[in-house]
Amino acid sequence: MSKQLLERIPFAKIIVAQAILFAIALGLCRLDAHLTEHGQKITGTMDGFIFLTSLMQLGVITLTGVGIIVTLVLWLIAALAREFGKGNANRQE
Amino acid sequence: MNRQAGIHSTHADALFSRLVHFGMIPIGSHPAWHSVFELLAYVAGYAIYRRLRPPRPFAMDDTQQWTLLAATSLGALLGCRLLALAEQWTTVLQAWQLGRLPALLVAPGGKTIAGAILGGWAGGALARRITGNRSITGESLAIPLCYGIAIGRIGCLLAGLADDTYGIPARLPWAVDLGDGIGRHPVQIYEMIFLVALAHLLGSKARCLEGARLHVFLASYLCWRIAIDCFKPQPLIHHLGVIQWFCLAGVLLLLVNRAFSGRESHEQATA
Repeated sequence: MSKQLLERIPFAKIIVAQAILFAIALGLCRLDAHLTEHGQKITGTMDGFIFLTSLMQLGVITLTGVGIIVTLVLWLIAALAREFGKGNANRQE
Repeated sequence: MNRQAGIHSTHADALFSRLVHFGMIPIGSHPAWHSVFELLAYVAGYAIYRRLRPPRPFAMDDTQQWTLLAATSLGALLGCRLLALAEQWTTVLQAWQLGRLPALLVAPGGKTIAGAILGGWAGGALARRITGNRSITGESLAIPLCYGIAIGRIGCLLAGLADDTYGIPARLPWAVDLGDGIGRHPVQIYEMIFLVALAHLLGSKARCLEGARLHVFLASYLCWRIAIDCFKPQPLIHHLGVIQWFCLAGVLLLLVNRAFSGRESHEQATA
């Protein structure tokens, strides 16, 4: 059951989506750092906006970063399980 | 123009908080434009790819296509970040000494397209080697990459000094003042012109380009970066910057790869 589930998950597509999100969030995050580091004057609305986007970007970076590693590990397990299953089936034949 | 006059302070929440002076023409500048044009570059690159790709671009099934794409994406992601960090090795060294290395994940350094290209190419090549699929896969990617990077460079220019991709000072009529009162080589514009010309060349129906468009793009762009990065202020190691060394290694790898693939096809033809 779990093996079938692992085989049905589109690991490659999930990794591509996560990699794109990670790259975009990383770029945006750097801008926030620059805005604050280079002494950009920040008004109340801008401050709130930067804080909100920074939180979102950090959240996206953390989630996608961990997500990529977890997906890669699961993909590897699924691939190994498939190969192991094939080996067992060949031996039984 | 002095520094104070160069920086045009308006409302802080406007996207035109600084002015870039391109010759006599003032252009609104803000680091946030980088993100806008980066997103536009992804969208435009994909749209161009959809428009130009043949009905069946890859001689492989859906799973293999996505596996290759995943490997390329991961390679590009790692490459763009690691090379950007390598470029700022002094900052990395400082962070390491202070025990703040994990903070560099989101701190200065950003991303570099040269690293993304090299990493993506390496990831794709690795996936092709593991899956055993040697079919040509990047033919339809070369032109979208050219236009995508060109659009991204508009963002680099409009981001001003904050982007770290500006040129060295120059006394030229077309020098660009990024807000510090110093005229600089508009290296981003040079690159846009180069990429549009390269896209035009790659779009031609020359027979010598058949099946080699991605490699021609890679070699041309890496050689271009070796040349244009001489016009960017950066720490040098033996007369070249870190990105230039990696680009040089990439060009050499491409040549070796080309020589080996040429020998393989010759052996197949004679067998």
